[in-house]
Amino acid sequence: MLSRLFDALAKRAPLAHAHCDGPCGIYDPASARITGEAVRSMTKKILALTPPAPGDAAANAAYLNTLSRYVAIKEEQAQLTKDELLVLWTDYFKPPHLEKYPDLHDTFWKAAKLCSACKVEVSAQHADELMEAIEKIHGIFWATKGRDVPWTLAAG
Amino acid sequence: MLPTLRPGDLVLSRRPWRRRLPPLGRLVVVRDPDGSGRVLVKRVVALGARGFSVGSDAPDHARDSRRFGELAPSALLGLVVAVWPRPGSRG
Repeated sequence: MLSRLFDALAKRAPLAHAHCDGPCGIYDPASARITGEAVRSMTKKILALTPPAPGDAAANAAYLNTLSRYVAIKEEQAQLTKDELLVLWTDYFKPPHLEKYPDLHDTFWKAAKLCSACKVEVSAQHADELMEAIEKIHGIFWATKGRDVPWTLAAG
Repeated sequence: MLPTLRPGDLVLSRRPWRRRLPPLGRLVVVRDPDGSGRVLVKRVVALGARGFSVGSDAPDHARDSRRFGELAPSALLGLVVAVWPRPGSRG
């Protein structure tokens, strides 16, 4: 009787976790790679934009609109990249990984700094360096899982 | 949270008073600060000026304030008032 009441309540009660680390355990540097690629793409597009001839109000409006969109997307994707990297750094990687990869903290710190640099600047060089940092993290990440996952870019 | 709680145990909690810190040592229901929306049951192990830290009774394999730091009062979802062990779980 009590046992049946327990079961009835248990079915309706919301679930609370008493221990466990992220029950899904799904981590993948691919998220940071995709957003990082978007940052690099937007950086290149901003640099390739040509301002319109003076006096052409319609062209000027279109130019400013396009430029604003590129900048907004670059800003957003750089922040997302930083968020994705920080999740890997603080949640996935554990002290034993650090023993094997002593420059792990430095790698993530520099990668996060590059995310900020890509927001503040319009720098193709820093966008490239950000992708190199993510590629390095990709390599370390999959090595800790004993898997050989190739580094593939979405952008051709 | 072994041995206090075992998988499948029922926990009854009540809502906290707004923005009030929970008492030290109390079992609490908190929102996981990782943004997953997951809900955790933990024990209050320290009180700070602006928040509180939670620990686990089985600390060897647990995710708590040692991993995610101090929690803001807004993360507190409930104070545990009763635990009903899952029938048969205590041998």
